[in-house]
Amino acid sequence: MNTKTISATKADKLFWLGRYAERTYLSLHFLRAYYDKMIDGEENAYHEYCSHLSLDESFNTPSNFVKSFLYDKQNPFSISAELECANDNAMELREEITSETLAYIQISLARISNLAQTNETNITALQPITDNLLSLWGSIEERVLNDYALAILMVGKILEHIDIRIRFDYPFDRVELLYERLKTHLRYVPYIYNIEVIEELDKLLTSKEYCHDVFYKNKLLSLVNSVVCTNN
Amino acid sequence: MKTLIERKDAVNTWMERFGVKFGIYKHGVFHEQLFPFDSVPRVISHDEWTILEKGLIQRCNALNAFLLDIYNEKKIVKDGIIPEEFIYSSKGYFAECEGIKPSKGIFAHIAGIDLVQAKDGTWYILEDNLRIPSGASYPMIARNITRKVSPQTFANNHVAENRNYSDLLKETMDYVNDGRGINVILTPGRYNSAFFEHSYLAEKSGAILAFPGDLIVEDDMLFYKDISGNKERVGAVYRRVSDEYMDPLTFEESSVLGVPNIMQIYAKGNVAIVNGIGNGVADDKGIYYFVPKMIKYYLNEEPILKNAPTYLPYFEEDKKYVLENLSKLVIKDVSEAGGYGVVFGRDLDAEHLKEMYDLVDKEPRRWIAQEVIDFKDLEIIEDGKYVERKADLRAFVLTGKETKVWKSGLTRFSRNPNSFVVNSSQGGGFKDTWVMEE
Repeated sequence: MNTKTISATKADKLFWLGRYAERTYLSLHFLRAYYDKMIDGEENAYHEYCSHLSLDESFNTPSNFVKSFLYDKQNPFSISAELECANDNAMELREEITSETLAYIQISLARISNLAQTNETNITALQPITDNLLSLWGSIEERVLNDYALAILMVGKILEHIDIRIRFDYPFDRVELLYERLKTHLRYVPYIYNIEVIEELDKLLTSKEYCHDVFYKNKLLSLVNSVVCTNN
Repeated sequence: MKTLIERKDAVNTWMERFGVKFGIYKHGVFHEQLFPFDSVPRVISHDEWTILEKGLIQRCNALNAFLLDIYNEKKIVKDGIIPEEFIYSSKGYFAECEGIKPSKGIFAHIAGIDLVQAKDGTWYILEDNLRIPSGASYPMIARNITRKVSPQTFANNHVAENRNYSDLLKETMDYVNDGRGINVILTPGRYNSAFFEHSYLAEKSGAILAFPGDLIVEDDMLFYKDISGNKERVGAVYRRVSDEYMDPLTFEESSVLGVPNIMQIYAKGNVAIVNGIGNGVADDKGIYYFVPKMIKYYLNEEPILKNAPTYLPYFEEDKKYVLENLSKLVIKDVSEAGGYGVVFGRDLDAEHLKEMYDLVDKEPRRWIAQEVIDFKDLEIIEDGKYVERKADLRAFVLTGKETKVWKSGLTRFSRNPNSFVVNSSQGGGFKDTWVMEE
């Protein structure tokens, strides 16, 4: 790269690549955890999973639930759909992130596509995708030379993680840690975030205020998802 | 070579890993698919390449001289070498380019020249592509992959490096950029059939990949807009957007792919556009007939490479021959590209032959006719067996400070045993092209 310039189009793609890559990684993590509960006889554990994501629970069997959340591209929370979204953004960022980095998404897509053909419901078969996503972030750190691009990717990643931790009722210190990290990265790219939203979050996201009340959570999520605006 | 062929699956896995795909619209729906790769390379000897290289450089120099002339003095028309109606009736001619002298006088910076080799070994030029010829990225990445998969093959064979295409592209862009600003590659976006190439060349050449809306004209200069509000001046744009969509204030007003007012600053010489606007007048299938005459006219040299034997029904004598021999000729619509508008007379029944006859008779300027060249077949591997298929070669010629031919090319082959059409959009595959160093 002979410039550090990032256009609005690219900033948007970087942000959403960060979010979707992290969403896929975390979805796999939670699917594994809830799948594990189902092994022990908690067959309806998926209700809890869906409830955290505010989704209608309309699956007849745990097996249908797993299939839907792995392969159904019409289900926006499925691994297939999330990977497609990550890929849609990554494809347009090849020269920022490099072909080698993009490859981790491409091989993950190939993997899930092959598994979908056999309707494999053993979630451990998706471990290579988790490995690829971890490698993706390693590759990003190693190969993305534009500091602004790297900061925007990290902002997307951390925001997604905060969103999920709030939805899944993580304790305050686990959310606060990420929030502080988010602000560190935002300092590199002041033009992509809304300072008023951050000020409001600073007031709301405190150990005193933090709770799992639905109204509070929704307010927090709404603010978290309004921090970044890349459509300048 | 044996190892490389045995590791065909590994090559394809790597292709998938790097997302080596092209887009295609089927029934209005966009699909991305892998570009089928055959591991058996086309091999061109050093001596054969030396002749091809000279001939290609000669041809592109003449084509560039023609473009500069035709949009300025028009000496070739005034001297009666090319009838003026061939210029003005060409769909690729743009009156808006009249008087334009682009940076360093170069219009065709990247030429994709399609050749075929006849069974007797003679190379023929089939067509010149001077607008936005695509395909160089595929052999470039294929070489990168095949070297990983079978390093010994390359240790044992002295094959000229081809991964330097992006360096040649950068050199060309830098030359016409002339220090004005950054280099960008302007893509119409993800849903363009050649998007892989746009993004890969941006990555490898160090240019910025710009999307519609990223570029803006201000104060008679072109800028790349930063999200922070800053603007960076652009010196050269390698545009992968068609002429008609490049500037809504000059051409197609509904276009959202181009940059408003870019033509105005291009005409003033404030930005280099690679390839130049209006190049279509020189790669028109009708103008193709005149290229050997251009070489003699501008360079005072005999053409080194031959055109396929071509007839222009525009000339009465040729028209008579074409109409009498329609069933053995290949007829091409001059305004079509990508393998479309190509009809083999031998494939037509009596009714369709009559229809073709009438079309050529009524609209002679719309068609050219060529003798069918019996291409030399190349071996490909299909279902584990060697079979022979028709293939062409797209050579890439880059013009900057010097005119250089990339020592490789895109060899496309037909996967259909009965077809001469090799285009990827019509199901063709590709091979690496090895130019031997000794």
